Amino acid sequence: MTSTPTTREIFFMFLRLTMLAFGGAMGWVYNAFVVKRKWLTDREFAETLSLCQFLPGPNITNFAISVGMRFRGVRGALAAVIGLVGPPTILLIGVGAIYQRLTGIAAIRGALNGLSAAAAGLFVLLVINLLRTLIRSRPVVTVPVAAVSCAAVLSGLLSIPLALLALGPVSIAFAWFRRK
Amino acid sequence: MYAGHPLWPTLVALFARVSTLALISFGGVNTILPALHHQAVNEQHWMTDHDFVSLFALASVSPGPNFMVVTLIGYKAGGVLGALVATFALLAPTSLLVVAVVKVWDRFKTAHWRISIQDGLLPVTVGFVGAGAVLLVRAADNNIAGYLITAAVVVVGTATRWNPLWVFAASAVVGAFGLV
Repeated sequence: MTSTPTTREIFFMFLRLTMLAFGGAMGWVYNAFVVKRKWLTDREFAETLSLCQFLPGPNITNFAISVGMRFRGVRGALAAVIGLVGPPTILLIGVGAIYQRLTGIAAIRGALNGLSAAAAGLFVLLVINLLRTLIRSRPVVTVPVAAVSCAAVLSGLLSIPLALLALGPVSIAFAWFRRK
Repeated sequence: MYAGHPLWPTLVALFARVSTLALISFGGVNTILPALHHQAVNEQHWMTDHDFVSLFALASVSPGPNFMVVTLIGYKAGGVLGALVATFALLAPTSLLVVAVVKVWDRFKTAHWRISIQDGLLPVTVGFVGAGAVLLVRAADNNIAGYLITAAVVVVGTATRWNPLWVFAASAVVGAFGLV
């Protein structure tokens, strides 16, 4: 049995998510929505997630919109998105406002350099995890496609929109014929 | 922002560039990071390479989803209004898409073409994330200490169950002493 949250509950759930989930938001969401609150079944969660990953845009806001809509229509969707991005937007505007002054202080500028190196590492980690996913599923095709797309963008040969247009159809065709 | 220059061309450029990229961000905002970097640093000259990676780091350690680096890019380009326009441009078009698709998702969630598109786009976009990782490492790591921090995050993330936040804290301290 699942229950339906109110608009207010939706807002506060996404507010907590945005404030508490550092990295790996989807694991947190699964635990909160399926395991603890029982607002979604396993199957509903998986189907919603597949929609969010299929469409462009941040997966987590796509998730917020689709479950908000499912529970409480447009009001629910708005409550979810505002809970998720409203407070961080205000916070980051504050960060942006003091950024110039922060970088004027040597120790803070240095700390920021250290954080930048760490944040770059987190992004490399993400690539490693994505590559593991590719290697699990027809790596003979997927790994070379990823390498070509990476090289094309890095070298400046193709912009990201053009690379999607050039490589996307080829790669989709491979996926299409393999599954037939 | 410079006093005397009208702000609206910047706001229009922010909205146009960010919303276009958002609509092709299959797999999330991480996949368009190289394009955001290209626009912000090389095309529109809103910031330096170093600013870009610093803002990325600030967004990573701030509460809220990491894609909100876009909010900081907007602030750097056009102040408070820029931050709001960039955030709106990232979320509004893709949110409308979710609202439109969520009602008909049941009809094609298992369709062959739908799954082929998703499977086919994945390796292409993994290449984009890889390019983003290279750009961030290049911008963030200026010396051996930087590379060591980046490597430490990768090792901790792949080989241990520790929270990478500890490496972030340590890297900020190392950086504050002017070593990075």
